[in-house]
Amino acid sequence: MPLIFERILTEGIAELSYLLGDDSEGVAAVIDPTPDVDKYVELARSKSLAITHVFETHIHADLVSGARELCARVGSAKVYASHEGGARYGFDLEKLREGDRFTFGQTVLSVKHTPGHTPEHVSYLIADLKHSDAPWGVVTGDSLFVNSAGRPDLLGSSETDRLAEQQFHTLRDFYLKLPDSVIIYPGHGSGSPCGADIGDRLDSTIGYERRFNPFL
Amino acid sequence: MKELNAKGPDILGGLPRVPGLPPTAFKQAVAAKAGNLVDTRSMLGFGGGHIPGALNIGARPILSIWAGWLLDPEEPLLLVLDSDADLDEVVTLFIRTGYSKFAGYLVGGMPAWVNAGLDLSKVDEKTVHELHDADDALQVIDVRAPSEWKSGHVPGARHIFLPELRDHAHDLDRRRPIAAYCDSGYRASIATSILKQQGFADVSNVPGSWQAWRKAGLPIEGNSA
Repeated sequence: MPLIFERILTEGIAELSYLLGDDSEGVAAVIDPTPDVDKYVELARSKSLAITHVFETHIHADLVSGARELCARVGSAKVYASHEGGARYGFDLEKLREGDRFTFGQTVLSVKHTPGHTPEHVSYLIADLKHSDAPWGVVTGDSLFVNSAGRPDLLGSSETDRLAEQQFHTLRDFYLKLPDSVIIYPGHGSGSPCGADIGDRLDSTIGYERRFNPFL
Repeated sequence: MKELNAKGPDILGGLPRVPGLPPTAFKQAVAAKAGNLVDTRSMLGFGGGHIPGALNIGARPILSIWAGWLLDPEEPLLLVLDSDADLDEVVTLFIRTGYSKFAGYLVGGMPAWVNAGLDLSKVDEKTVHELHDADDALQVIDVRAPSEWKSGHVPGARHIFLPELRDHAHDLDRRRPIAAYCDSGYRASIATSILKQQGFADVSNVPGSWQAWRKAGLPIEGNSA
């Protein structure tokens, strides 16, 4: 089983980060780490993986990003973050654009711009290399949650209308067009202030959310 | 925090150092305003006796969120712990929402403080039955989120969402006693510490709060929806 895909829940801030790797090649990516990075380092070591990529879904407003901390700790990784939506950063990183693809063994991660919660927000489609155009999962960050969606009002009232419109297009033109079988891996669980009434389950499917999520 | 994350947060290279301060040195640091004084013990410990002026945020995972609401990340923190062995765990909760400056922690905790003969402040703790039987002089405040308040509350209570308490404290009558409640007492204990900081003398928490009120079968107001 070369694919390693692990979810890491950080309580309180109810944040979900992910480690995706391939143990035949010994490489892994971490998506949206918190600043207490030992848990990722220990997990990667327990699976005999080197963390080579640290991906961000967006510029977080509710927690400190652990991306730089994790890269500094492991020495083998770079930060990859969105340069869609006019994002600017004060440190060196690898810029992501819609359609960028990264391969970890037999698994492909593809970047999709999903603005709404923030202008630069991206999600990551996960597919088997043999069926790279048919993703089996999507890491949604703070764009789509179980039973909820990311709030567009956290950047201040002057941005809210524009972001709400972008969020509407992200939900309707991207998520609702995915097949029902695609599994959703969100950036927060229940209790996070980033979405209203986020459901208790930590993952879901497009099909289930299509039926029951009030935002879809 | 968005600006911080876009600029690139400082790399800590591990947990920040927190100097251990024995009681006398800790007292001097508090008096010199070397940092914001935060007592991370549970509500019962805090109510029973704490350092005057302390803010109570109990060391549970949700501490990260309440620190984010209530503290300035630019100001260092002075920590009171339940046990010195909890230091790393508590610091981890703080760094998640941007608090990486620490002026020190009280070595030996509150037992060392009281053994040194230093000052204590207290918060009275009322059961839900005492709250129910209290006379009209008691001001009851509900510090839960608006959605929780709308699902039912203690009759006659007044709603002030905890993050807004500092700005609304002047609406409360300083001559009358105040009791604060939330869902469990955790947030209400934070509220009592804020009111004490603002000079309110007679402040009490309601451990068990709304959960206990409902389990005791006491009357509920405002849950018609």
